[in-house]
Amino acid sequence: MAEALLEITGFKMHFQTDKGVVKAVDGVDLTVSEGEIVGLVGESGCGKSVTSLSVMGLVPQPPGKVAGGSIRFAGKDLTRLKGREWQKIRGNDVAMIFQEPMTSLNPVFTIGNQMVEAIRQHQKVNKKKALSRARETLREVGIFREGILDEYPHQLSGGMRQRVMIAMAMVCRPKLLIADEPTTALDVTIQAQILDLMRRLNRETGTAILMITHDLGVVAEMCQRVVVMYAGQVVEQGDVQTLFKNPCHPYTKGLLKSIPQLDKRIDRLYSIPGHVPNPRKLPTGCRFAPRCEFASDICREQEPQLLELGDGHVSRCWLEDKDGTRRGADRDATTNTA
Amino acid sequence: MSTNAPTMPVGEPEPTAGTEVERESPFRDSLRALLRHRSAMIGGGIILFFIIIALIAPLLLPYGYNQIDADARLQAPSADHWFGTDDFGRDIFARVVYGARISLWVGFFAITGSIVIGSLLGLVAGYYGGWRDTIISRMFDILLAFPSILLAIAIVAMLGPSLQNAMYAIAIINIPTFGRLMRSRVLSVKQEDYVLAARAIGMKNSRILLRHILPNSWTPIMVQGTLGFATAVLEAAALGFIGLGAQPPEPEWGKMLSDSRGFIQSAPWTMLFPGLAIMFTVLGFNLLGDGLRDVFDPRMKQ
Repeated sequence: MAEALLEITGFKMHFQTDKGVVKAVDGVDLTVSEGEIVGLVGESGCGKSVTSLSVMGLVPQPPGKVAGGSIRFAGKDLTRLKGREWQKIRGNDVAMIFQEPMTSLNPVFTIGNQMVEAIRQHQKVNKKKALSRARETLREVGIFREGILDEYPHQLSGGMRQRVMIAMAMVCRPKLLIADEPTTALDVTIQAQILDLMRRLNRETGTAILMITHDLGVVAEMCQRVVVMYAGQVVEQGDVQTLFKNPCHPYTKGLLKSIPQLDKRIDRLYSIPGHVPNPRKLPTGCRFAPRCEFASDICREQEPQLLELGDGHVSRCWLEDKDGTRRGADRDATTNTA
Repeated sequence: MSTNAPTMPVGEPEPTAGTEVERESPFRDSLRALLRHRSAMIGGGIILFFIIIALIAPLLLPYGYNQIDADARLQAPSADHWFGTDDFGRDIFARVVYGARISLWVGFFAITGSIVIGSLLGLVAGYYGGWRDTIISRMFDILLAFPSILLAIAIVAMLGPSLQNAMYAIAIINIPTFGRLMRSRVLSVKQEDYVLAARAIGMKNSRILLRHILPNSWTPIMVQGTLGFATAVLEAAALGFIGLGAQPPEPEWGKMLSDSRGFIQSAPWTMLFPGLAIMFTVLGFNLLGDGLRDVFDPRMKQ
């Protein structure tokens, strides 16, 4: 097993608002090893993006507030970093690409201009050298053509812009690339190309990728491990094979069941009833209980802990605690190992 | 586009055939739209005309602006004195032409001053928010609470009447206009993804402000600046008129108007030409400003 590159433990990011505390991320445990591709999935509003922005230190504080836990990257606790130290890490060690390639480039500068900017942010090279680096990187992502460095973002298509973003993110050879729904805004054929590109870069440069998405198809295609989030918490985690074949948490099951299938004709597409709870008024007990078809009394009263099911597969559900014997044991286990 | 041909690399075939690569900046696009805008071009033409005569004034004139000729007082326009003469026998054409220098000079420096100071304050207020925003915005509110010309009068009264102090006063009273405009633009631009992306590659705040926020926020400032130029010219004339701006013998248009108040019936040309000069300058800047607004307003694009 490769060394853990990113290690998030019990991380909580709360937002102070006039109407109360919004617990956007409330207990996330997640590791990304070197060279690994990890998928982070969940419905809209479950805290995926806030988690990823927290890793980059891009959550404005205030109103955001780290309410507990740590984010360790290559041994450093990122939650304690100050402005300057962040600037050294962002773009250099950890880079990020965003959902909207159409708006992620500055409309008033040329592609070359912005790429040179990104390169010279972290590398002490002159403009000419930076330009040739830019050319090289654009060639790597497969969109180099004569004159592209002098073009403006509005002259490129969405897919090309996303490639420019990837090129800018990869130019300093980061150890970790966070991709926040990188293909959501693109059409299917372009999606496939972008995913291919990211997989190739992962293979060739060994950059680990944390892939945030709500598309389970993308996860199955790309990732080695999956982390499922619900209402600010990790509810299930495991390697792709196990999780897709043998999902344990009812939420994961629901997500998998909600995917339309080409080979089966069904009258009604399954959907999980209800909505993601308001992060200001989280239900007591299991957060998924109000929407869960298997919920029992204990689910509504006590919050389940993450249970180890073997082989790194964990689930936050009372169902796995069949005879109730592990309830106490689990608590002992967590306190002992902590 | 044949105009782009020279910049194309020779002998390199375009990989994407058919889609000709245009090297057009958004700025140049706007410039072209502006050149097609009829009233903006008329306004621009008027301004250009005034700028040119202001620049070449001394070459143009047989008389100095302060050349007194007691024998030729209050003469009607003639071949010798195109715009007639005033009560000191000074050539009004010469005075109006030199006046263009003064008005444009005051307008330019006053507005540049308010743009620079207002934009900086607006950038800081909008980008950083918090207590900086509170202090700066309340300062703007205080300035805006006074009627602007009254405030200008108060400032000049404090500093002492002179053209330069009038210019400072005009600059100060226009700061909140630009400051608020910039602040509101920054508030929306800082939410853009490319600003987040810039932070994600490790860029520091000052650089984000200058490289990403400012260039994307300055078009409304430019429009407002052009319109503000017209206001500044008017304000300078108003201050001159009440004796708080240019001091004699400086041929300031507002001052010329007030000096010839007594001859409005006997020698109307003494007021007519400076008045027309003010009117056309203001009209020119207003037309150009409206044109710029049309060009930069995305809703007006076809």
